[in-house]
Amino acid sequence: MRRTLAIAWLAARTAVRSRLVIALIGLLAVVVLGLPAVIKGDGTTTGKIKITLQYSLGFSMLILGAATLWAACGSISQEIEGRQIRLVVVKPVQPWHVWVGKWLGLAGIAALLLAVAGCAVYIYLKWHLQPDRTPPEELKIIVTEIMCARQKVWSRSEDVGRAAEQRLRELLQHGTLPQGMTRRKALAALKRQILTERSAVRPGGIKTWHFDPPDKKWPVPADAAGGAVHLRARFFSAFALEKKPISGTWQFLDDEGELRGTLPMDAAPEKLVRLTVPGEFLPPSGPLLVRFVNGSEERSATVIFDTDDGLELLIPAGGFAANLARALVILWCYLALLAALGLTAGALFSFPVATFVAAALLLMALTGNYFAWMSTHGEGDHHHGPAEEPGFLQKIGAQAALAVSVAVRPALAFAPLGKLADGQWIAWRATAQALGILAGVYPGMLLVVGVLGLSRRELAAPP
Amino acid sequence: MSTRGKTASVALVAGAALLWIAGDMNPRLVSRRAEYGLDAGQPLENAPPWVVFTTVVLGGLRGVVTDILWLRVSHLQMRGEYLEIVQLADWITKLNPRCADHWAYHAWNMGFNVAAVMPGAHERWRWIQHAVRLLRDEGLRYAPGEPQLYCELSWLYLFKIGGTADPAHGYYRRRLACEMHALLGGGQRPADADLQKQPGRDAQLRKLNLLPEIMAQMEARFGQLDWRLPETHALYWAWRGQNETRKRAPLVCYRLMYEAAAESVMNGYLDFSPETDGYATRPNPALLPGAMRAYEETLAVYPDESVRVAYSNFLVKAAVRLQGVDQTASRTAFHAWRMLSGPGESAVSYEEFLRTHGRREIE
Amino acid sequence: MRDAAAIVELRGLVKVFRDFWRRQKVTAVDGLSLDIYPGEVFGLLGPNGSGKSTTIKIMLGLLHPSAGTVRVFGRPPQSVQAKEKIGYLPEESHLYQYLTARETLDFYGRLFNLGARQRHERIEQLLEMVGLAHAADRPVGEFSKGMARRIGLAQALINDPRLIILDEPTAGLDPIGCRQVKDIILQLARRGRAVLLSSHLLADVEDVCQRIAILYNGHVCAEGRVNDFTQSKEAICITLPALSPAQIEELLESIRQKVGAEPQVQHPRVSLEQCFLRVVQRAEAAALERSGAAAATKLAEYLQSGTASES
Repeated sequence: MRRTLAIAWLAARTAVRSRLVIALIGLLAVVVLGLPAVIKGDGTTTGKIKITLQYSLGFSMLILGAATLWAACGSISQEIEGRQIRLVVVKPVQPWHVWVGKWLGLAGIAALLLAVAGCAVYIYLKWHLQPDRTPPEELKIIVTEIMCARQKVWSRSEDVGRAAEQRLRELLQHGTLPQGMTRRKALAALKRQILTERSAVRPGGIKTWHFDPPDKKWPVPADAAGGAVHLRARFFSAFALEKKPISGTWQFLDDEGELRGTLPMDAAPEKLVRLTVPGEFLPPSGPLLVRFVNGSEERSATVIFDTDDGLELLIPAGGFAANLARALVILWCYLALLAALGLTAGALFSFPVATFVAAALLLMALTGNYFAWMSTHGEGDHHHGPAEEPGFLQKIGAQAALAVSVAVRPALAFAPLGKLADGQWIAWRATAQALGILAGVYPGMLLVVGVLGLSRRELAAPP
Repeated sequence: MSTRGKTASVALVAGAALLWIAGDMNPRLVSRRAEYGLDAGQPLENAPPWVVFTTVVLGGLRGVVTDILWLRVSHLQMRGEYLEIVQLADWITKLNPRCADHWAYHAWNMGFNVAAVMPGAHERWRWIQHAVRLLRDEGLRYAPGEPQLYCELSWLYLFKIGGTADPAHGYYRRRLACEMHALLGGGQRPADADLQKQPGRDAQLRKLNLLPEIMAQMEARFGQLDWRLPETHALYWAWRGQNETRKRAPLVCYRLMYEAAAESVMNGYLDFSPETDGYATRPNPALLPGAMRAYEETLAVYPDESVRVAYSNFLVKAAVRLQGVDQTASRTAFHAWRMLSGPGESAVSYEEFLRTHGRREIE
Repeated sequence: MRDAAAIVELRGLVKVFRDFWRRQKVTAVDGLSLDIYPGEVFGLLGPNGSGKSTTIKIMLGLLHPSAGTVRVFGRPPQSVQAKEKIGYLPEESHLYQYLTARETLDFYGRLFNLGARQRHERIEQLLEMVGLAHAADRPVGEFSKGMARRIGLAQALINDPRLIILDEPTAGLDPIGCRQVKDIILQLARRGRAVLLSSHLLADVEDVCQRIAILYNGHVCAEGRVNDFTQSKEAICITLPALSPAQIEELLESIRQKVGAEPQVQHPRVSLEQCFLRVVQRAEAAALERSGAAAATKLAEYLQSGTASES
């Protein structure tokens, strides 16, 4: 441990000594203080706060990520080129001591800088949200919808498996599956179809969702200062081109069907509808039934709720400061991963090549999903006809993009900034997962590759 | 031959082959870039240093960054999240400041698509203003002389603010009228605003890219226009698109001009009171000659059958609508219609015309 | 000395450097075999390009041999247990320029897993030993070449090694510094450490080494005791106190008659180094100012452990 910490201390010292840290602090200050002045929101204070939160930390991550990657690429490779490493490896030090030590040092500096950026953003937001600077009604929205931590509660998922099987049986009685269609694909398509059918509500019709309380009971009814409960819904309508508003009523019932409250709704489709649910609408315990009653034919149209995230309940789960801290931890995990990537590249290649390789791998990881999606969705449309059959090389490329996308998917699953800006609770579990995956598993794999490379490399070979 | 010599020979041949391939592709790339307006051959005029710097430094990577930002716009829009759209549109357009398509698309996206899903008229108006500002304050600055941008602005005023498809169009009209009413010192024209004695008002108008000298030119050309109406603004932008473009103005520019002029004839007189929120329009026959001239000029430049039909329809409508307001104007429209229609309609009398076409108009 | 097992065993060592395309470029070491024993100072000599540095780097695990075996303390050179007992001074010390002398030794001391107190004690002793106590808190980047060699030597000894590998240890040092380093080497050898010395300065090698190997073209051309190389067996020298010319002549005549050969008379020579040192010592005694590192003559206390053995 002493060896590893000695190398970590040296790595941190080198970063500070190179004035990199000072320059980064200056750059972060410019971003945090200057960005809100130039960023364009949607014209509302709420929008501005959300964007400031997301973009300030986002740009800070961009800067820190680039700096971490660059510093990590140079950490080992430049010591090899400068020959300082020769006096280190002839000591009783394993290659993994060197890698882990440098990783700890760089991750430590990254943590410090990220903490500085996070604190600066927090202080800025607090200053901006003083009553004399923000209108009271906007302040209320910001406090209850952004500067908070709300847990998402989804409704019970509908089991459409049996219905899909039944429908497939009925279809097969009248014919066979089309060529190229497997039973699995057919079932998946039928499930989707049934879900969509069930999510449609005609004029005068009703649809009910069941919500189970997290932690066995619903939160105590609270005022706005303590945290409000919100219902969010996304739906489409038959008035697709005209975008006429949909009229209806939301009813809130307990498990026994007793009505606890109603909320009217007149909202345009294809937009996220937000409703504030008074605390007394929630039952003290047990499931909550949320029912949408569509208006009459004169006032409304058929509504189709989004099958993926048509309805969600947001309940207060904590404070903003702790949420911000958890978000920063996850962001730090990304920086730790970048440090690991850079160190491994630096262990294998010279500094310029390591920077290039690391940047290329990062780009591939970030765009793999996009290219995989593009390759499977193709370019054909009803104006220009079906897409051309992809060539052999294209197929290979598509498979490679898909493989990359699958490999990095766990790493890209965390989206702390989006959640933070949306006032969503970042669970401790998610934070632990991020620590395990982003700061454990992936760096571990990179450690193995880096150490193997460092062991096999002849550190005194002539250039 | 020695190993070194062989290596050098292979390298030379490979280098020559690659150079030939690059040279062969280059003319196609250059023409494509010019076609899409991505050509940065001319220096960016009026652009702040950071925009020029970014476009130069990023070079070919601009396309990649633009794609990423554009994908984010699509992704957010699909999820019903619109907060970042304004900023993303700003970046996308500034990354390719000469590409008129980008400006036009994002303005249209904000002004039509996003505005339409906003729950209240106030929010919708806000998004329409984002669209207008993107084109008026930024697009025209970075891509001057692009007729598409003027046309897009004209379209926004004519069909979004002035059109009837949007349930909140009444709100838009009132807001525009309020703003212009205040800018023009309670009047309806720049002449009412006494701009020479009120330099603040002149500055405010110019800030909105409403140039008093051009407004005066238009009034000389079309007649007394009411600048509180969206049709007048549509006319203004179409006019500027026609006269300030570096290329020949496209047909759509002319169409917007005559349609805006036509609409000004039908509803070019506004009774508006910001105190009582009273808002009522009626025909303005004085603008008929200007509108007719707009159609005729279009036919002269673009002798398209659709333009002739549009002119004919306008004359019919004008003759019918104006007969109760200004007989002279009505008859003028009727005679023009008869001349346009050719010998087949030369025998139709005015009264017969009104009987036939008046019924159709009512239907 | 030869009763103990060899600390370093090289057998049939071959090192071929290849280019990017794996084509053979240079054979730096070609079938080299040698042993180094505890308590001896072994000199590795040879012209430039003979494979000295390559051999040393292979022994330290900085290069991998193309063929042959390398054992250091009976283990492969990459072994952590072997490295714990090795101290290495490279030909050019590429230290961390921004660390002070004290910080440098502290860092390397930590790499040997030395405790804080032990580290501190050794650092102070080493700085005193190499004459850098007055510059302990200056960044190494500001050191002269001689001072850099001294701190390099200090870091090579921080772990009280059993095997010390020194590549050009006296390069850049003034004659006093050279003498001090050589004294340190001799003292270390007397206390049972093995020292491998690679140097172009043959006078220094002759001064301290017991055995040498002369490399050429990557293999050992000659190996053996220094005395065996330098002593001529075909004649003898007899050293006498100063005599009068008549006494000398009488002695010569006696030798002529008994041996039948014509003897040569010469005055014994003192080395230039010894003359220089005497002059400097006199000047020191007269308290003349001297710039550069302060002289120190005593081996660090912790290095004094081990059996003092005759060379």
